[in-house]
Amino acid sequence: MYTPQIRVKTEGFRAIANADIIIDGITVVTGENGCGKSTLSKLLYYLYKTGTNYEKLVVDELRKKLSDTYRFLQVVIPDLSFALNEKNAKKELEEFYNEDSLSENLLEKWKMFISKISHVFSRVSTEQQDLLFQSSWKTRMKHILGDILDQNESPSKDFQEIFNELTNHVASIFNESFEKINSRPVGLFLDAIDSIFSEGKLPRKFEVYEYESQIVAMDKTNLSVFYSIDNAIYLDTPMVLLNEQSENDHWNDLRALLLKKGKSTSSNLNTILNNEILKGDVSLDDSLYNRFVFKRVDGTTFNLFDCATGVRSFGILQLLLKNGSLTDKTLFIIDEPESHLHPQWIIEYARMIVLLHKEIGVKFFIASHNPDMVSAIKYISMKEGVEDKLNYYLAEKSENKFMYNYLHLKQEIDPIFASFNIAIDRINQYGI
Amino acid sequence: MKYCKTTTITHPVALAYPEIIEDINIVIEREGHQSTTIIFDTNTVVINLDIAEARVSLAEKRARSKSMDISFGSISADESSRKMVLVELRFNYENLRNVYKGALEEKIEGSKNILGGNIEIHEEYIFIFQTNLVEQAKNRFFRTRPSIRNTYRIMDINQLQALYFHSGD
Repeated sequence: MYTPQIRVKTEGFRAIANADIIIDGITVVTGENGCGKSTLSKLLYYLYKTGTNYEKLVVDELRKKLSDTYRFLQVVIPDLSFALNEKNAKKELEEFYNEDSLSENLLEKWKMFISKISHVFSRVSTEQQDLLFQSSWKTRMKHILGDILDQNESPSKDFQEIFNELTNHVASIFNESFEKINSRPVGLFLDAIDSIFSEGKLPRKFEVYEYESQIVAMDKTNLSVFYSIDNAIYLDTPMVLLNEQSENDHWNDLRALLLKKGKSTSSNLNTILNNEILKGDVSLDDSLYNRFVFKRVDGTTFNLFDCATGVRSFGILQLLLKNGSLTDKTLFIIDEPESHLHPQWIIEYARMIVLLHKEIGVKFFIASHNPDMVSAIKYISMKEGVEDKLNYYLAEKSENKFMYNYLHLKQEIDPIFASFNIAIDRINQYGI
Repeated sequence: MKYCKTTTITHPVALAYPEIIEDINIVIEREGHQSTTIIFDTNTVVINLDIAEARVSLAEKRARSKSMDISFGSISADESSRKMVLVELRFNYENLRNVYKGALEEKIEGSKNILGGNIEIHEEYIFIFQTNLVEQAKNRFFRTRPSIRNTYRIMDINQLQALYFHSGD
């Protein structure tokens, strides 16, 4: 009996009435606008982002919670420069604030730094403090500390007492994070869903199975460690290259990945991209500042930002391929890969999807509206001998006409074409 | 319009070359249709245009032209109109690959030449595909030639049977 690597079941979320999606090769979902394809993409992305980068996300969250304390320390250091080396202190603070791994050692660094600041205060007598600092300064600092500690009465306390509380506050934030790392509560994923979809509603059902064993569920308290996927990439527009910083986390994540340095896992596919499609090479030029360049076969070099959108689309594939971001444990989620591409390049893109799966084992979740993309993936897969790794889905209106059920078509695509052909009927209806 | 055996077997070309008349069930099986059930009533016959073209081209001492696969006679409900329907059978996936404007028109023209003008040729040309390729074929036909519109009708063999051969009413 066939056992899929990944199976995602969800019900009652936004436009999705029911979806039971297999991810074990190339999954293609189709359906009219507003049927929930992008919702599925985002659910998948944030699930795997949460699951595979769990520790990093916890550290990011920790950093966010410590940001007020960090800012307070930044504010206070220059004012205490009479007793500590301002430059070194700032550098030290910067370093441990930006540290990416969570450890007891890191907590100790925070404690010691707060203790150092506290010590400076304790060395200065009240009379000296009055000489050094205006009383309004002290009041301001106490108010800031009160804000960090969420206390109204801080102004009436002495600094020593407040610093002790600040140390406890930092320790408690750390302990919360240690607890999260140990227990991997599903809440981090649910928080992500909550922040991406503004309705504030969670799916009625969301379950993920790996080799038919349930690893994620809404009523399960812990988020399992995934075996089949250790890296999720979400690409919904090649315009991502144009945005230095975005409100969309997945754009920032993708940009960070494109800037990564690493080694290609397939020179063959890179050759196809260079010689047969792009007629040139896309790379990261980090000589002066990070920028993506397209070097055409005739030697002319362009900033990738200035190239045609189609070149950017393939450029993203090439950059990810060249820096080793695409592996057999990658889930590559692409919304409408056909966007901005000439029909000829739609077929080439479909070919790359099939070959990336065949040669490297990359798993794809594709949402498409395009007949050429849908059929090219199927027929190129047939030729390449990976047709059995295809799973097509068609979103069909449920009884509630604003919600959709995802029909599993396996390798059949004709029902999808029946839906595409409505457009042809409309041309006949509206045209001469 | 419905299938008319009399119009089929009394077509002048059929009368001239009786061997071009064949059982449709045998033709579709030979062309690659796989089915465990017999779709058409026994004694449903059609003109095999491939054999017809071989005979006619020989008689006319010319090179063979391309043609559709089969043709059959049809008659209107009030029996006032008779037309020959042209049908192309494309049961293999390979047949989906080759949907080119020139080749299709050549086949239709070749078939019209074989059948001559005694009985009008139906204005809709029928292309039969495997059931699971019908919608893809419609899409490819349209996108290959947006102007074909309603003159080329794409369907599966069961739809052809229902359209012309169903005698339930």
